[in-house]
Amino acid sequence: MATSSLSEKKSLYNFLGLYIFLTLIILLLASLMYYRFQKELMLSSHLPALQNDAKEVIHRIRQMHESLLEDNYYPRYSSFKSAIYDADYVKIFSLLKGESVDFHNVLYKRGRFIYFIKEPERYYLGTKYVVIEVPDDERWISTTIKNILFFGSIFLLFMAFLGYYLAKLFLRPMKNSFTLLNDFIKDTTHELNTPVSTILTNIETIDKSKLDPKVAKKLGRIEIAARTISTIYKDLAYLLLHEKLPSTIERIDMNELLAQRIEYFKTLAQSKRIHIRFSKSPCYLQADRQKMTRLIDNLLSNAIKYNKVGGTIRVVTFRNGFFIEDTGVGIPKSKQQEIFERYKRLQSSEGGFGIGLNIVYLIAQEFGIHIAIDSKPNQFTRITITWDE
Amino acid sequence: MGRITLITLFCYLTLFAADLFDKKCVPCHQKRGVGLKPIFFNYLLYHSSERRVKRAMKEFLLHPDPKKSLLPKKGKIYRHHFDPKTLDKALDIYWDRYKVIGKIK
Ligand code: HEC
Repeated sequence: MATSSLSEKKSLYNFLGLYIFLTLIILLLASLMYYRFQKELMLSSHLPALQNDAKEVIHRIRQMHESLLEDNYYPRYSSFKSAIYDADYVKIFSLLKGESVDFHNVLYKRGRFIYFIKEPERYYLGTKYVVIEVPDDERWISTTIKNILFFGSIFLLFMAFLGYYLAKLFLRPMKNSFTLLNDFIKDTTHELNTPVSTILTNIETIDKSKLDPKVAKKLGRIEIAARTISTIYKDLAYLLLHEKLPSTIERIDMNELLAQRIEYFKTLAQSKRIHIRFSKSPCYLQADRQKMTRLIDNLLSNAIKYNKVGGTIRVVTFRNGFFIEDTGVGIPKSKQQEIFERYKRLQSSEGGFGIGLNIVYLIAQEFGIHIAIDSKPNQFTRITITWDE
Repeated sequence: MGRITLITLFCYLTLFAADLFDKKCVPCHQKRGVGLKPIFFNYLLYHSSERRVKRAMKEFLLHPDPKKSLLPKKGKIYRHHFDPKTLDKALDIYWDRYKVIGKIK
């Protein structure tokens, strides 16, 4: 359940990311086009007046030209400013506010002004270009922006609904296959439990003292194998169901529980000639017994798994916690931090790491338990479990 | 010493150049009643910028072509005889005298 919903979420996020990205690009392009269009519209709405202004200026410079500049008074108007340029773009006379003129455009906006360039049919006073400048009140910009915001939000809302619908559509097949897989695993694990329990109870009822030592040894191995399967089953069951498992909080005598679990792993420890030493001080915890069993089992099985043959395991309880220490390969300092971070990251990344530590972390989290690692490579690893009183 | 000669030479040349236009072009044009000012404005009307006006005038004065004349047609056209360098100087003064830029109010 945990991993399936994780990858499910991940692909959902990928899909949503792409979707939002594309939506924003479309919105941006559409806004840009709309803005350009509005600008063109605004410019062309000014055109007739500008044409007229240019005509007046040309009429006037024609008079000036025909007087051979005896009449040299340049026309001035309150509604617009104008300038005249020759064929080499040299300024002949200018009343413009803005400085540079773009001769490649006939009608354009620069800064807060609109420019219109008209070529008279003859070069009166040498004028090839008459430039008309009118101020732009820029009211069209605010209406355009208002419209973009309004229609943009409607579009976004629409796309959000569509996205929601698409995401559902997109996830349905995946969800189906995940639930199928999940159900399958749940069913199989459940069916696994009965035969394993049968094997274990039967082995326990056999009186080993009456057996031939060789047979007893083989039986011991079968017991270990069966216990291992049983532990894996319980871990799996926990992982699959922990969200639905209600916790029955009780006061647990940790000494009693630890002793019981040590007893459970005794055969396994003996197979590696590992000696388990247990020193007790009064130690109680308010938690769910089943879950604490899972936590301890995982720590003990790791301590056995990573111990050397003939090593020892020390289990020590104290007032608000206990530690389990092995004499195994150890964890280098640099990796200790990493393991902790991986604990935390486990929830966002998928699998890869042993599920054992994942379970320890999940359970510890549920009951507000702290985990500390202390280790020297090739000497020992000590996992200390503490809780607030 | 050399510098002074150069400067005097330069002054002489510019003076000579100013002279050139007033002495060579103006009198004859006055005499013949072909005003240089209207001619100038006509060239402006058809050629616009300083560079283009000068280029067109020079081209015409060196290689007169009745089809290119900006004056009303009256059959035979007057042929000017000036070397290109003198003409360049004369046209510079001509332009400066009648140019529009700076004279509009
Ligand atoms: C000897 C007299 C004379 C002199 C000197 C003279 N011009 Fe002219 N110029 C004329 C006449 C005559 C015309 C008119 C020709 C025509 O009608 O075809 C003319 C025409 C012109 C034109 C008009 C050409 C056209 O038809 O487009 C220009 C320009 C001109 N002169 C420039 C000059 C300049 C510059 C100088 C001095 C360097 C000069 N002239 C010296 C007699 C003169």
